[in-house]
Amino acid sequence: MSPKRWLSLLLLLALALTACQGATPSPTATVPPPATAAPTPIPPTETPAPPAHVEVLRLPGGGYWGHPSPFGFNRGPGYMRASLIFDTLTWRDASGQTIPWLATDWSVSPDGKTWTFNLREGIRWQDGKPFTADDVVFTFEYGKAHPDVGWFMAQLGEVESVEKLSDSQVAIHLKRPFAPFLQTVAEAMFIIPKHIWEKVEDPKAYTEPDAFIGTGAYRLVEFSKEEGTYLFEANPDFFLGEPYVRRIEFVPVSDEAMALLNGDIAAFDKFGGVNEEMLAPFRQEPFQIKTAPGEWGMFLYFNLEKDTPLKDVRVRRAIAHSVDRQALLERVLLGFGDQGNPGFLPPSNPYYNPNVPDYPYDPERAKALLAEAGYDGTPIQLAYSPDWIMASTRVLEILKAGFDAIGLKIEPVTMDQATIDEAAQQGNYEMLITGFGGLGSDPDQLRRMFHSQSKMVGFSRARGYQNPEFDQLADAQVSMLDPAERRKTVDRMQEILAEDVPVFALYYTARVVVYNAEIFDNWYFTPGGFGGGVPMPYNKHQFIVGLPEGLEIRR
Amino acid sequence: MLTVRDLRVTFSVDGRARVRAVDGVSFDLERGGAMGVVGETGAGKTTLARALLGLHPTECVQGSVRLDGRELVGLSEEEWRAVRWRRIALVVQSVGTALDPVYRVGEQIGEPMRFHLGLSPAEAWARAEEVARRVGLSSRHLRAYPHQLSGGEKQRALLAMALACDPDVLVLDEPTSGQDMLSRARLLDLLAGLRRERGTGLLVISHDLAAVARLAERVAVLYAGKVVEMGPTEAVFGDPRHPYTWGLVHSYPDMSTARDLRSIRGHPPDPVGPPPGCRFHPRCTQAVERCRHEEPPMVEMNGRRVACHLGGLQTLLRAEGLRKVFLVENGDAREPLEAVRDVYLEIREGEVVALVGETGSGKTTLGRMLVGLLSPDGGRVVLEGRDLTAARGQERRLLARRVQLVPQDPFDAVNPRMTVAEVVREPLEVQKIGTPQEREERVRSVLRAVGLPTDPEFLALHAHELSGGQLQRVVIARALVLEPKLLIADEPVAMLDPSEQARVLNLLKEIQVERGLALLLISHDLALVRKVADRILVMQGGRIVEEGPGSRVVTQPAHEHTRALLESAPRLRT
Amino acid sequence: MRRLSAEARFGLVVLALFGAVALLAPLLAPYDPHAFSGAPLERPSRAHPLGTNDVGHDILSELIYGTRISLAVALAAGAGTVLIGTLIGGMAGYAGGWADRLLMRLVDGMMSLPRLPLLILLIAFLGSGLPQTILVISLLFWPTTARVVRAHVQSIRTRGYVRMARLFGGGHLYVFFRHILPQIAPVVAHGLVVSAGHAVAMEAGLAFLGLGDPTAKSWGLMVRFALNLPGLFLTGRWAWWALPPALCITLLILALTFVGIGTERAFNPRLNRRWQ
Repeated sequence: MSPKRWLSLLLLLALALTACQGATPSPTATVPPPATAAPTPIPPTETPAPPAHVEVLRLPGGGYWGHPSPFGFNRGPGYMRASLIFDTLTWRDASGQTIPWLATDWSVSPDGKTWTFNLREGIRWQDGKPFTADDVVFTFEYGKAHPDVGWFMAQLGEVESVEKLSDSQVAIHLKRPFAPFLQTVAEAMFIIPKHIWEKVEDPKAYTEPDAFIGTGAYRLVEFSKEEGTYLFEANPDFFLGEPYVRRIEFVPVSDEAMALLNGDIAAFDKFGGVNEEMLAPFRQEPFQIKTAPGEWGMFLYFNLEKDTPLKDVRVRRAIAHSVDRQALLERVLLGFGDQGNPGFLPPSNPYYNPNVPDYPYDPERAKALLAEAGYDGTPIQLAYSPDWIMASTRVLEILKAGFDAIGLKIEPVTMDQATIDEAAQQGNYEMLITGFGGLGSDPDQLRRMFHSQSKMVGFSRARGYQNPEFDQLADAQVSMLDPAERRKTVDRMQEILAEDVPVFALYYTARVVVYNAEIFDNWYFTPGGFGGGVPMPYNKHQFIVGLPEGLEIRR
Repeated sequence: MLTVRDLRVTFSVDGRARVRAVDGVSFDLERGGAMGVVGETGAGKTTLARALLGLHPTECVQGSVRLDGRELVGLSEEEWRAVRWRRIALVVQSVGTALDPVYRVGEQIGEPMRFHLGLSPAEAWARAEEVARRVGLSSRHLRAYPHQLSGGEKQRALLAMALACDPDVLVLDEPTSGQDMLSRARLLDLLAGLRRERGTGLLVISHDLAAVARLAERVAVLYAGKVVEMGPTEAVFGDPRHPYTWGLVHSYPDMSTARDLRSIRGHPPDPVGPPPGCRFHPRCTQAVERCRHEEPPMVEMNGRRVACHLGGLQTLLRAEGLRKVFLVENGDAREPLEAVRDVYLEIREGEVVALVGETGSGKTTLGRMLVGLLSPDGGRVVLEGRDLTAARGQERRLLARRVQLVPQDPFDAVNPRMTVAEVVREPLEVQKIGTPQEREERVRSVLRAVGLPTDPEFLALHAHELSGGQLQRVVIARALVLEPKLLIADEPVAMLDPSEQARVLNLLKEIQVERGLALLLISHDLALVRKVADRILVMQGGRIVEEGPGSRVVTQPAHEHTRALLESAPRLRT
Repeated sequence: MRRLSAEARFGLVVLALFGAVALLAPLLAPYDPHAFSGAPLERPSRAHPLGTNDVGHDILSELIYGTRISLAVALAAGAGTVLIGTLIGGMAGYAGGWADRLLMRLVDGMMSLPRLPLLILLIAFLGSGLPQTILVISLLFWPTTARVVRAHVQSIRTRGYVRMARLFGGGHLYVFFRHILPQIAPVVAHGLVVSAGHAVAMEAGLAFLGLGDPTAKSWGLMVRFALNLPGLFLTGRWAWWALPPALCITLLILALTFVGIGTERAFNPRLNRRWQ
């Protein structure tokens, strides 16, 4: 049972009860704002000079994303919450460049296999204990000892060993030169306090108060699984100084747009599913809107380990031809995003290859391919999770219209988020609709997802896909430090994926953050995502520093 | 002395049909003994008496009548003269016509002596005076003409006539009929004294059971020309074995019986065409199939002889050691309360038994156990030989036809959603008896029997649209529709107003007689039930403290609780 | 029926209307509710009187077809609830003794359980779909009916005519169906109507939570999708998208409640007969 369900249940109950009593469907509905009239602005701030800090930043929450310990969080939003408490060796800001964080500087050996980090002096854990190189060494050793519970974006498998050079210097030895090291290891791996975790056997289940002790800019005040609230307050002893935003609260809201208009929250963000009509009220002071191309995609996965008609590439191609990606984009995203790319990577990724084979919507062609493959009407199970991303229900409806048109039989299987992620991770599906972010990050993700020998733990790895040429190219690109050479290799990898269709990309959601600039104006989308690829506009850097770039706190 | 064997008297009526007025009667009369013959009018009593005196044409009489070994059947009229009056005399029933109105009474009394003993008129007169004195007549009476005498005096005159030749056997045909109580009593004393002093054998033919009981130590019960039961008078009357005897005994008005007159249902059979098999079977409450075809033989047991296929009157229901314990909440504890303790009782065919006790005496609990609504904690209930307590399923369902209950509160006993027709029909439906048409007919018939209308409007009424009395009649009708053998009525009139009480009680009694049911009447009102009950059981504290014939319990209560109940009973006169 | 109260008559009329809509849905609905009959999020127009939803389904058609689901659930789950409730309550009330204690303990247990979490658990176990929804509602909501039925059966069981029927040789089943069930029929009818109301609310709730068949056209699901749209209330779309299904749910439950009140009057036949 996903915690999110519990919460929505409560909300819904409230609604159902109100409905039972014959009231209007929701309390909010009693004061519907006129759609065309100017939205009620919040009272203008009289202070002539902007405040030197933000006292409270209230953000839309309501979902439960695990407990924000280094091992207890779920997916990107959970990582984001935990990242307020825990730090990594490096981080990145609005420039998309790696910036110093726990480490002040670093260097790589000529063979590209050893990274040496100098740690910032004087950092203390939130319980007052000093942070040292021992903690860093412990973190990597602990992570390797518990390979199943780590953040899947963090590529610990590439690490051979970690060596303490001094109290403030560590060396990380890799198994091979690894191009995306800084983003997927140094920036992704939360450093944890040795004195707390060395006694913990089951890191995922550990929820004692000291599980939430980090070096970070924020302390956890409380979180509620039932309500989906997470409250954080600034750590005045943070190593960069007292954060610009003093308190961050994720609170449940029923309608984010209304909540923002009413001043209940300071911002909301959306991956797709918005249109100009909805944004119109925010096209004026004090609101601002920032958009970014999609790094979050929705995919149709084919499990090639199972003995289904999907094993035949012609069936997969037929399915690709039956998908009306234009309709998906227009109906599910309201045009706010990009069509899926058969080469997997979204246009926003620097390594995006626009010249891969395409599968235009063509039921006739699809039918011909099915016939060629000798498809006999065997039904194929299609797992999806309507309670998690509601859009997947709509995706299913549109896909099903296409499948019906070509005579492909499917059996929809509904699952909740935890179940579907588990099924994806275990390969317990035939076809799967799922979505995830991080697509703008380093193209090494292709190797992790599609290499036949990949051991990546996570829900995005393809199942049963084997292409020797792809494996060889994928292994090669990891260590290519020449961008041009690497790009050529990655281009070819995308071509192969487009031909073999182990996964079919449906769409990439454009991202938008709508915010009240009077409360807080420093919102940005981190290029390539933060923490290994999290595409959300909630990079802690922006709350701590109050400025898009650098480590200097705005005063 | 007098031995009668297989005596049959056959008449031809209209020269065609042969009527057996007396059919195979056998009995013995000892010297100085007394024998009673009882039966309804038309049972053949008088024919029997006349046959003993040879007053029928010879060809009509078969069998054997021996007096001291001498065969009387077939004697010529000449031979009879030596026997009649001298050895065996008859006191006829029809007083009015037996005396010749033109002769003085004394002359008539003396006439047999002159005729049979050859006495002179003076001797005969003197002897007549002596005999008349013995029967309580003076010389004044002897000089009178018959019309100058009262009925009793005429009867005595006839008796004196019969005694004139000092016979060995005196046959008395209805000696007490038409007599006032006082003269009846004197007559009976006289006859008893006669027998004692002179050793005269008496054959008392009467429907006056009390007279028979007074005079005869043995009695034969005659029904349609046949003896159905014979034995010591006390035993036969006190514990009748044959259903007819039982009915006869219970229909007899008795001075000491407080209850109303009852009679046996139906009428004596037409002697021309008596029913086949047991002649009593059409009126018998316990008749079985065999009774319709086969004549029952006379069977002797314990000095009594009974002609019944079933060996006599059947016990319908028997309770053996019934116990019931309820757990009663008393504060926190649950205390056992013995509602019924070790009760034994029997209800025989066609009997009305009253179970009387105060509220809380356990009578309702007992009643429920008897019908099988409540299972006893000990003991058992045997209905017609089958264990009702242990019966299950189909057997239980069939037993349900035999015993039914009329509960106290008719409003509670009727489903308010059902119409009169549905209520009365329900038992038939449950028992799956008959076609729908037959059921309708039976419903109408029982409704008529309880005096309710049967028009469609009435049949469609619901309980709350009826009066209490009407509804109780509906409940009774419902109980009757299965034609049970035993009806248990638990305070059937308690909820009704007094006038309705009487009517419903009379109705129950009528139905009981009409249908030959046994009735167990449960009531707190001794005064009420004594009018209808043959036997009364008095219950107190879960036990039966007194049991006995209705008359005895009411007049001579043995248990103090019974006396208390009697004293508390409402009386119109003190 | 002529002496029904105004509310009950209103309830019946509304129920009849909904019934007619459900039956005639294919004739009444302008579009197949699953067809992408318009652009997403169209405002009300002649072609789409209630506009279109987030993917371009005609909302009016969804609403009309939604009647079928709600009524089907109301009927089936109401009947299921009452069936189980009457059986168990009837058994407990009729049998009495240890059977009664056992069953009532079960009822108490069921009633003390938090039903919604249990509901969700069961749905998670059985899978989502209309039959499962009906089954689960029936399985969880019978205790209320069972209690009421038991109380009535207990009082009827001690009535003389029930004993008398046993005395005629009537079996337990006969007595139950001939004498007890007709007496509690109004209670059962009332329970049916009330349970139907609960079932409508529950189905809507489950659908709203995403625990029903996510592609079904049910009112609860319509509200769920509507509320998922950012700016629903901002843009006024709530008025033609979220409000109509919510109103329909409300109206249906209200109608069932009114009819339920009406059936309650039938509990005591003496109340409306000529009993002086």
